[in-house]
Amino acid sequence: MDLRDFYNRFSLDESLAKVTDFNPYYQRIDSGLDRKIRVNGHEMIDLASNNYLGLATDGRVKQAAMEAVQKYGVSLCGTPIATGYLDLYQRLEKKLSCFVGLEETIILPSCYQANNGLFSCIAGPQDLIVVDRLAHSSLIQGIKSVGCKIRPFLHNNLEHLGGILRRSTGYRQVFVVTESVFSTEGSIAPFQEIMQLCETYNALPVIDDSHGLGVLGKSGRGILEEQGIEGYLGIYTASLGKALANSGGMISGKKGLIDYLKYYCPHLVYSTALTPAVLAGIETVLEIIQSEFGVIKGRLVTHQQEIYDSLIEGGFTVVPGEAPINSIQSGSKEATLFLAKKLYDKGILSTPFIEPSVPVDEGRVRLIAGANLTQETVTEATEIIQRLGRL
Amino acid sequence: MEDRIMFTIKHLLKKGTKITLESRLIEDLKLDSLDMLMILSDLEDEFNITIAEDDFLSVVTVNDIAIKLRARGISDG
Repeated sequence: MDLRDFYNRFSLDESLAKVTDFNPYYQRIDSGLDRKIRVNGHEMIDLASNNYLGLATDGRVKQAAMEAVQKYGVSLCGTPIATGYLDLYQRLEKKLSCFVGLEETIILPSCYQANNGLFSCIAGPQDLIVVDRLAHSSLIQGIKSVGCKIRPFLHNNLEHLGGILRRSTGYRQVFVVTESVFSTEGSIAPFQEIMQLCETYNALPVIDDSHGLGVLGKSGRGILEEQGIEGYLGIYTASLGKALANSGGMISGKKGLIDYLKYYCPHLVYSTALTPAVLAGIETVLEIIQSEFGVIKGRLVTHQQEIYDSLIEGGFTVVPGEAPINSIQSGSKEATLFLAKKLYDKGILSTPFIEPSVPVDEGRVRLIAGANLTQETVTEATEIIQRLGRL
Repeated sequence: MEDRIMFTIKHLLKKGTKITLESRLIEDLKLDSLDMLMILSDLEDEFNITIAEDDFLSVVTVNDIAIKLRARGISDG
């Protein structure tokens, strides 16, 4: 076979970028996540990153990362099971466990890997996985890798979920998988009620708290704190690259299970461990959250409300949600990219979502105003949004 | 049977979405692979059967589902 045939299969369809004269993906960022960021050489307002608490460029976090590099170098050049299990790594596992209130934790290079690797370790073809229709790709791909029966339920719909669980008998184990905050919508799962359904039908809950950790709860400990859940018996995953402002992913839960994953989760066992700088950075972010969460969260909520008000004033349709996210309903993929381009042209970097990240014709343009943004920057953003809406 | 199929699908769609036997699942109803999984699962409950996803890969319209189910000996009752 001619190799050209092989490579020809991978040509990109660039029609959408041509129609909209805009490609929002892989934009080159020339700065850190400062009060303004530089994108392709232009100064812009960052309403795109997941830097909720604004700690990605905090001086104390940077200092901790630099000190870790001075002490340990840039990498341990090994997986956690080999040379990557630094004292910093072990300490962070304990601190994360304590922070979210669970027995044990493993730390992976990303939450995509955590979600992707988890299910093939804990489930098999004789099981059933029930999953929220809008769950993240990492969860869906991880679930698909099991080869078991999958039943999606309507987003946050307890009646649909309950009906499925009631009729799902004869499986070795039923799992219910959801997220705390659905980041394309800003909606929050009724997890307390989902857990009650799990209890009734003996199902095991799995929650991805990537957009809740460091954001939800009165002290930022995430969905379990937010919904007053104690003694959680399910499995918990989260990203360390959003509010926690570094990178990596975690899986937490009962000690016996986590100990098992330490040896049997290939995504952990065969991946080079997180670097010393990142481990130290996360540790410092946790310390900052523990001492300053109330003030930082206050700024985040205020920014979100101001952006929301400007969107409504500008005539945009915003998805109702409780998380500090504003998600504009933008319709088709073309309309979604057109809106993202309008914002971009006026100096606002946003995150557009089109299928398959969201259902067909249910495009979203997401705006997150991190707590590091100044009042002046947020006001500038609101004025731009209002002007755009009137056009 | 057609009414039961349409009822099962309709409650999974956005409010106001029109559905007929001729509606194409992807082009008209804008369904994706996860939606299809959800529909097949709910049809299993509705008709008390087990559906192999591969058997329904060729389905294009709502009516095609009825044809598939009848071919499997599912009766209207």
